[in-house]
Amino acid sequence: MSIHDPPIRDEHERIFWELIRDERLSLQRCAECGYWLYPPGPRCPECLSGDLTWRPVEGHGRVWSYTVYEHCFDPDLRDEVPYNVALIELAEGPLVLSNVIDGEPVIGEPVRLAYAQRNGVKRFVFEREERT
Amino acid sequence: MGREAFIAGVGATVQGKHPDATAWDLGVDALELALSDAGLARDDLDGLLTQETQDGSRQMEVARFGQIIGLNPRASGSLHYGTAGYTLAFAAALIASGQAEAIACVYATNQKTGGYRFRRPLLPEWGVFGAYNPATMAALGFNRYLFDHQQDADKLGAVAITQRANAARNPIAFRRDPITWDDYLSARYVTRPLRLLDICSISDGGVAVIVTTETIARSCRGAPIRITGLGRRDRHRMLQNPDHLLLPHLYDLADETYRRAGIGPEDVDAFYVQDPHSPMVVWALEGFGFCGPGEGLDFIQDGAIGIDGALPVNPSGGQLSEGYMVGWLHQVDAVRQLRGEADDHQVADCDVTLFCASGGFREYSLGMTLSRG
Repeated sequence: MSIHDPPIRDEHERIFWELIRDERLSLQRCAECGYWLYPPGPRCPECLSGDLTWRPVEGHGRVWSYTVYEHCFDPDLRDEVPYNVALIELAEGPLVLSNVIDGEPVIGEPVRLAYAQRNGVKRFVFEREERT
Repeated sequence: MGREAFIAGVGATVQGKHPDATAWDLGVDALELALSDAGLARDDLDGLLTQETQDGSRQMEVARFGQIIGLNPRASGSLHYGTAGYTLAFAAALIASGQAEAIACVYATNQKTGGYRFRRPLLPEWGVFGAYNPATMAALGFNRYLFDHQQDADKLGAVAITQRANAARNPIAFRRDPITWDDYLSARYVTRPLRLLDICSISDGGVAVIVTTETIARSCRGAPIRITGLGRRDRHRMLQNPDHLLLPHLYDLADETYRRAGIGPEDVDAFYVQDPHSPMVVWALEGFGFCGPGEGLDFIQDGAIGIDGALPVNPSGGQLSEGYMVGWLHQVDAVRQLRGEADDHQVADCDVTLFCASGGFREYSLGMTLSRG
């Protein structure tokens, strides 16, 4: 397993990444209190309920912050440097780490969900939302 | 309330590159230095706490280290996140509860010689997105901080520049060549807005600290150093906490640490910040009340945090310049400063030191104060 492979350490992570492979990024939502979980897990961290349901996210968020990797830490990504790593605040609540793939992100600006693939691994990414 | 904990001896090897030494060797060297500093012998120890190296080689695993140094301790343990403050806090709890009388706390690593690189993602699922370097969290937090406070990133250079000037006066420091503003501003970005000089580099070395009771400390060679205040704020929900990467929990941590010590920021003579990267110094200054929110980048300018400045910060050079020993060297230098034994980098009239650490993902945070006596 390379460091680019999604970690599959339990059933929750397996489902999470399978849904991404199908381009249906989903999170567990707590049936008791409505909390959206990230990262995936066995219980709701708010109320400890185990009654969790996988639900696709709407796919909208805002850039909380980002950093630009200008140094190549990994020879496999040499052609992609510089690339950004961004924290996106999803409309559902959670802050998720991802990449904004169409240029340098702007903190506070809206982004929408997209997908990208590298070495056979599908990942969720974000694109800048056209402002109207 | 149990017995108070004292530091009776400290030892640190020269920092940098030790091509012929394992971490075990460096740990033994540091332990011997600390025992000699305290005027104690190996057989005076009945406690052993270690931190394992970060490279996964399991060097400094506590039972093996105990065997190497021929010790059957009463109490021992190892913290995987045991950067120095947490290990000293663990030792203080063992002293308070009477589980041990004299505890050697030891960390050593040969990760520099071993060619270890931080190329593993900090959270496994981040590798998919190319996020490998531990400074990623700091870069994300600092970029947001700049946005929130409309601040100028270049001002951050004062941390690396000042700490390097401090290290130039410390004979065990790994990096002692001065950094100018030109050097800083022309250094390449690693994880923008952080530059190469904002992120500490891996080094080899060993550190040991002897934590003991007041009675034993008073019989030791040097002035006894009292752990006067300890505070903790661990945050295992990490990014589920609002603004987690801006370390809002440092404010509560500071209140608790000051309250336990019965002091305030105005009483601190030297501030030790575990500094894997420069922004941590800015956040710690704000969290511990040395300046207001958003004022840290202005506070650090013009030598204010130098050895002779208004508030000396990391007077031995910190991790950015002295050596990457995850907070352990900070303890050694604090003790030397309080004893007046820091020679060329001595802070004038140093009676109270404060240490602050907040782990890689901020899931562990600690404040600790030390005083002579």
